Amino acid sequence: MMDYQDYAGVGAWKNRPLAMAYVEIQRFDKVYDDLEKAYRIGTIFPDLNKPFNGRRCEG
Amino acid sequence: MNGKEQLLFNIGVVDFTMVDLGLFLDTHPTDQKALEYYQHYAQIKKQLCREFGKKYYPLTMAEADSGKKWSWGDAPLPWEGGCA
Repeated sequence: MMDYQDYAGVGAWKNRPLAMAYVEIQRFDKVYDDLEKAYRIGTIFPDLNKPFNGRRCEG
Repeated sequence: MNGKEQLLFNIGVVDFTMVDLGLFLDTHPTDQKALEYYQHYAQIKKQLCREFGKKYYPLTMAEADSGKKWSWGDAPLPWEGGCA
């Protein structure tokens, strides 16, 4: 698990202002070709397939 | 699943796909690839619904008038176990 110091001032987080939330814009990348599987998962976008596993999201 | 349930399930899957694409398009209204996907699945859904309407009963009133008979009343009622 990365510690909070690992995020500070590194890469994408370098010039992010403090105390402001930021949500990455989704790009139309991949779509599940098996729509029945997507239907059971609950999204057609693999990027949004983030099942909660009790501690943190997978994927 | 018999033929009717399978077709209804497929309509549900395609409809779900359109809803998810629609959610994406809400925030990306000019994304051409997403638009193409949406129009593609809208076409498929229309065909599946028309097929279901012919074989079993209309899912929406738009498919009810098959020229010879107003078939909107053919659909089983929810309180008669009509919901698949």
